Amino acid sequence: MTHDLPPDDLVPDCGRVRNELAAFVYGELAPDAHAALERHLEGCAACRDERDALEDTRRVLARWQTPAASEDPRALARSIAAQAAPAARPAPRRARLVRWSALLSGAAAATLFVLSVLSAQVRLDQGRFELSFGLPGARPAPAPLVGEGDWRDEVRTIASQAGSQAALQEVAVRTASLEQSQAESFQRVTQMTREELLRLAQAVDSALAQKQESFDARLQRLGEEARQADLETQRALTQLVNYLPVTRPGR
Amino acid sequence: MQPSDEDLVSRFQGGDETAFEAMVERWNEPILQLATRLTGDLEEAKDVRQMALLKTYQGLDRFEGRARFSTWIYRVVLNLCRDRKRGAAVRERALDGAVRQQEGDYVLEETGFHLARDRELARIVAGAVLSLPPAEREVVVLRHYHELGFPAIAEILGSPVTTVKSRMTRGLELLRTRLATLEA
Repeated sequence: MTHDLPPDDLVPDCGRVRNELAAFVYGELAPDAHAALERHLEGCAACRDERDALEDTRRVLARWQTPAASEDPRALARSIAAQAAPAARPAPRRARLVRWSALLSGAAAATLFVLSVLSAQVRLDQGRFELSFGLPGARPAPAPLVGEGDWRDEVRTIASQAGSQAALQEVAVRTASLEQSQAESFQRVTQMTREELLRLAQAVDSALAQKQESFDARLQRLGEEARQADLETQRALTQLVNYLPVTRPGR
Repeated sequence: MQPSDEDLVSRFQGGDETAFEAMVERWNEPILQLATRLTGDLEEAKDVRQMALLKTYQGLDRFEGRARFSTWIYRVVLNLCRDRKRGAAVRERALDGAVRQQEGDYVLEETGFHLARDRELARIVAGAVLSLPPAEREVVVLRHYHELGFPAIAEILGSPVTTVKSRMTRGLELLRTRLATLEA
């Protein structure tokens, strides 16, 4: 509360009252100042009219409601953090250990999230990761990280949450639907070192690239087959029309 | 009990990224509302919000708490809105976006008139606020729509309380003149 009128001014004059009317209407006067102003208004019609006019204006202002924010604030926060990533925050020294362990669990959660979406099987054999998406003969080849894709942005976003409970819960829900061998992989992944997680991410990357390549090839083949079928159908129809007898009405 | 803004700042400075999410959850709506009412354009307001949150994220590590966090973030938004290049008048089409769409705007004919009338009233009020001189508009918006006290507004603007109070009085008087034909 603020805007006290001078303490010895029991009945302020109109000029001073007009200066305080906005504060009065919005309830910002201290109790004694509020009371003093009310006493003035009781005896001054002109100031009462001014007060009433301000009250009316205040009520009319309420007519303007703006659209509510529609974005999920947490997703918005993550996108802001990702946008700011190039100017990365220096980790405070005392918190570095806590953040690193949280990042590990976040990265593990992110990797498992991707693997569960892809229904991938993960085997760790003598320090080398082998992934299978159920494609016969699929073999992950050691390769550098491939280009960017939407899922990788999602992985980074989830990993940057540094131990977000929501991300871990999501993985837990998906893990429940996995087969036992994949659940064992989950356990193993959460115990991985940073280097192992990076190698796993690279293997996932490579396998995805291969899968995308074979998918694209299949799409192209289907497209060719469709065009071919269309041409053959057209030829067949043309031949049929040429052999149809033409009958004229009235003959 | 909800953590204070300052608690969230401390947690963020300590490395807790989820603290920033909590801050955005708290400040997303107020920032967007303020920017919408100062620019009169929802899309511009979203740009301002994006930039304000980015500045917040990048600046929080250096935040020393000499001012309240709320003061700091309101200042960021005000400065961004002042920097926006706008024409002399708010674009009519943009103004539509700055007014909340009423539910059922296009339903029953007998209620449609009232809804359309309310929407038109809202547009008129929005236009009147947006036509205020910038100094008065800022004070009116912060006091009326964000319910900040005059001392808090004075701190945000870096102006004396008496100046803030005068601008509020002048702003309301201008609005009264411009809105005189509308029913309260």
